[in-house]
Amino acid sequence: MKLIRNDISFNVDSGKRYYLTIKFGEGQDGSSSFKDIEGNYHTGNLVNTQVGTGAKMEGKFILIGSIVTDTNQHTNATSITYLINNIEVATYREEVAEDNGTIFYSTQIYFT
Amino acid sequence: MRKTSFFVTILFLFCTALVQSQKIDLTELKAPSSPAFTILGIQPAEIARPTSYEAFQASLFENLSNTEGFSIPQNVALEFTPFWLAAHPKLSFEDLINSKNIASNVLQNSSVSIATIDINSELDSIVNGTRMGIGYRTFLFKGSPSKENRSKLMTAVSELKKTQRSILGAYQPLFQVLAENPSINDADELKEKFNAELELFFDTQDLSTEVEEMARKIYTEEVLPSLFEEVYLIQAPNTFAAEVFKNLSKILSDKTVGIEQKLKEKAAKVEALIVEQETNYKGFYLEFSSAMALDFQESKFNNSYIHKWGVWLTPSYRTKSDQFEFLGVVRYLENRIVATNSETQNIDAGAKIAFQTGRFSLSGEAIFRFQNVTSSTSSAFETTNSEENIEDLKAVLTLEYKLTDTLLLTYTFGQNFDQNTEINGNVVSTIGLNYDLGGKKIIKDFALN
Repeated sequence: MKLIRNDISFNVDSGKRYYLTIKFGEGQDGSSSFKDIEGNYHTGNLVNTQVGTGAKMEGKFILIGSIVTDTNQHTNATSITYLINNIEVATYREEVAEDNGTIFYSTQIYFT
Repeated sequence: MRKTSFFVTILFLFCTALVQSQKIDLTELKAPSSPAFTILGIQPAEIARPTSYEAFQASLFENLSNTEGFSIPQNVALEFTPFWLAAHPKLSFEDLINSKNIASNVLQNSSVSIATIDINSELDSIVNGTRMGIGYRTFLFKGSPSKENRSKLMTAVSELKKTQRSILGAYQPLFQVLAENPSINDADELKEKFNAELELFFDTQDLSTEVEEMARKIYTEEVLPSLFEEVYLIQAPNTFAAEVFKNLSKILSDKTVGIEQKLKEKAAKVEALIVEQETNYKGFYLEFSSAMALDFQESKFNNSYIHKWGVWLTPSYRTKSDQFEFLGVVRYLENRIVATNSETQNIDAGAKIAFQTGRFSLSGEAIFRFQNVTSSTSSAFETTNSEENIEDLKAVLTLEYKLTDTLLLTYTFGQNFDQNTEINGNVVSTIGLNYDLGGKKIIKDFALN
């Protein structure tokens, strides 16, 4: 499967709490996993999963691994969208190498 | 020779399709039915059954009534779905498989068809030229998926997700350690950290035993053996972790690894069930179609006019048992006949019953036509306009046989409309071959990051 690496910067407010959502597009489905600021892992369909508080997140990062497999007969494209507190942070799109192929998106988000 | 070459063509296509044939499903392929063909008047079955709209679908016809005997089919129609040519980052998997509102149905199922034929009708004054049909169709309503199929689909999705999560379990803790320790320079220390992170991965969340066992198996049997290959030879400082990362990425991308094959098989099963769901909806469907035929005299672009245009609705109902399907059609057509300087306005209303069992399908349809003909004849002294109302009937039987999952053989026999400008006489006797060229593009593999 193809590995796609990305890096993102995100500004945090020390007084706020932050939540992560991962969405897959192009009618495809996938699973994601990351370790939050407290050191706990979360794996599966991530919707508003707590990352931590802004004060603890500043200067640190989270690494999100996502696997999306092509099951859509109409297209070989996959896409992934990262949202923090329901605000879209980034979207990436990639085509699988062949029918029913898989993409492993590995994205590091640095909090400043 | 022509008869021989026709059967050689059928045999060749059959053998080619047989190489990749899978489980047979008669509802996957229907008789060719693109609006562009229908407007050109060379469609043997006027009423089309709903299809799943592949990216491209080529249809071939041969008319046995041709007095010259058998020949290589010349009428080809192409149909494609523009929706899937664009990116859809907000379209989720659930949106794709669940029943949609009318707007979503219309957008996702819109297809455009194009077909061409040579003009050779004696009823048209054009000596030579090309006629192009351009058609559009979509679903307004698409029925409901069968409960049995939906249950199988959800089970297959669940199995696919278990495998995806197992892979995350085997790789994500390792990527995490490498990201947290970019300067680490000792293989034993790194292995200890990997093992500890793996335990943390399973201890801090509630994953099923099956997922955990699969993840540990992948880590032990597929990742660990190759993880430190060639890394001991690295001498440059602060490159050890980066080289291990490269190895990890290489292992992840290795197509010979068993887990890659497992993912592909499970994904293929999910895709097949989605396709089956789309072609096996039960209950009520409503399809909208429109098309126009453009005549190019002497095949020149600047010498063209609209010969015919029309819009039609096709309601249908499919029973739960899949054996019976009932269809109807309501259509409005306008036709310009150059030879007689006349125009026709047609209102068609018809019904079709289809029965299928195994590889065979048998259907019968009847269409009543209420036609208004206005014509104008001119002499040296005056121009005479006349108007006539005509009632007409088309009735055909169609037999379909699925040779393979990509090859459908059809034969249609019956009576065409008496008033038609496309063929001589009103006997319909057509053999057709539907060969599915649809499917996704194959993109060449490329190297690691």
